[in-house]
Amino acid sequence: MHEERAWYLLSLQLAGEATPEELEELRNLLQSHPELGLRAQIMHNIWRSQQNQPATNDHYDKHLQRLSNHLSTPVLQFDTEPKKHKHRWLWIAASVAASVIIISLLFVPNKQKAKTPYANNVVSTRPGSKSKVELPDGTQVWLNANSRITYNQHFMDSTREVQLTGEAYFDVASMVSDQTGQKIPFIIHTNSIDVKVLGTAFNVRSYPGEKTTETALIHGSIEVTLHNSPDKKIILKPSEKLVVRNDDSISVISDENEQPENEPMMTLSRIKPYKGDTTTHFETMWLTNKLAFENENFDNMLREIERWYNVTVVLNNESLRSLHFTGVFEDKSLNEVMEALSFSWKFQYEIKNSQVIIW
Amino acid sequence: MQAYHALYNLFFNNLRRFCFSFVKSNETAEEIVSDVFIKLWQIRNKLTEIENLKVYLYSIAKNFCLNYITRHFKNPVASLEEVDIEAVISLDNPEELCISADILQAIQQTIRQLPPQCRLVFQMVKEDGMKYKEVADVLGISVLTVRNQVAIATKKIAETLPAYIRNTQAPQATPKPPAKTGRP
Repeated sequence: MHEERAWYLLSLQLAGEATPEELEELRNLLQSHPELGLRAQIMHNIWRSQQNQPATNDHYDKHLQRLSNHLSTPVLQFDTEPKKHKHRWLWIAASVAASVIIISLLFVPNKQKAKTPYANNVVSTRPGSKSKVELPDGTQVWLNANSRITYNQHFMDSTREVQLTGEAYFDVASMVSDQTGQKIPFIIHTNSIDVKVLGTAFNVRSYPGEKTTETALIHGSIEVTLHNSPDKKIILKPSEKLVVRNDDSISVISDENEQPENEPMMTLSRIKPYKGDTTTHFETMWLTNKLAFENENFDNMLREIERWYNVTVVLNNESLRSLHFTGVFEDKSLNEVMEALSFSWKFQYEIKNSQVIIW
Repeated sequence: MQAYHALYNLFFNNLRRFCFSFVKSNETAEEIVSDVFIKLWQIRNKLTEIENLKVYLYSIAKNFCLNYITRHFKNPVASLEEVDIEAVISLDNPEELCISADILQAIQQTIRQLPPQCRLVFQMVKEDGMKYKEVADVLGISVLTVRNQVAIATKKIAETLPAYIRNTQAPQATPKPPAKTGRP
């Protein structure tokens, strides 16, 4: 009888749920019944036995991958994998320290200053596809074709930083640090400029092979820093657009007839609304799936078409290069676009498989 | 992001063991734990509204487990009573426990024979260090039931133990002095 009461009290003690009175009672019982002592002791030992299989970095990595998949839209494709089961990523063995996020194997053209040795999260699109992704802080990013953003696990520490190649539209979530009470800045690194976000919605275009990098601000305010002149900071206000000449841009075959233009290092201008409608701008038309050109030179236009439709264009008519084009194509096929263009500019073309030949 | 990682590390082991009790597969248990943490991520801005995070996580895990079982077996399962629970209780090796290998086996047998819910409750209290109220909230039973279940398990195990050490490999040859109470 005493025994049963003792085990009952013992269970409370082991679980940490005993009242002082109950503890007192147990103490007395054990004193007056020493034959219980051994078993009580062993019960304590049993209770203390632990078998832990703590989480490994592998476990966490796998979890982050599932979390990423869960957050992304199905359109997203990951570099190097052909369109397959969307959970497949290409892995490298994780590098360095503690919390490592997923690495994606890709051909990173690392002209940029060597970033941290930590692993990176990469989201990218192929030519011919656009997609939208949500970053861990709630920022929405729309990626145009053949574009890529990268961020690492320090993303939300004291700053939020991403690398961008290509074109993306950002809608940046506001974030305040618990420690400092300050807003956590959002910074986008491209090959030639850094964009620091002080406000919300804007477009950044930095394709390798294009002569310029541009950023157009829709809402809020952003601060642009040029890699070549880091002390020069330019703050953009809504509806302003900054175009910066890339120093190491691949120069297009220069026409001997062409005047060497004295192109300014950069130009600050207003973004042009489309047809007087101030809510739609050329720079962000790709978001609504409209292929738009605003006084674009032929070369850039062709390159955009290449990305948009995932084709290659061969230009065998040099005289066309100097032309500029303004226009919008909405939901038009490659054929329709080429037909329209060939009409206006009187050239011939042929589409064979994924190649467009113009002469 | 680091707080999230810390939480994951903190709860991973116990939640996985908890889920294992229901789904009986380590791989599935890990996936469900991952799902729980995906859910946690989704509501991360409302975390301050949650009174007890532990209870919250375990409750979600329990529901996910029940869903899983429902999906994978013919009969839909609505409550824990219908589930065959495989709770796991850790025991150190016999030397650590100052018992013989035989006794250890006897204890394991006793544990195996505990009713499933009793074993689960015992696991949650002993292994996961949960308070009676927390266990009650997660499992949807009364605190009194929890208390009784733990008492039953304790009693059954204690009764399997020898009152005295005789001719065992344990270093001590004499009965131990009365145990001091109030030890951690």
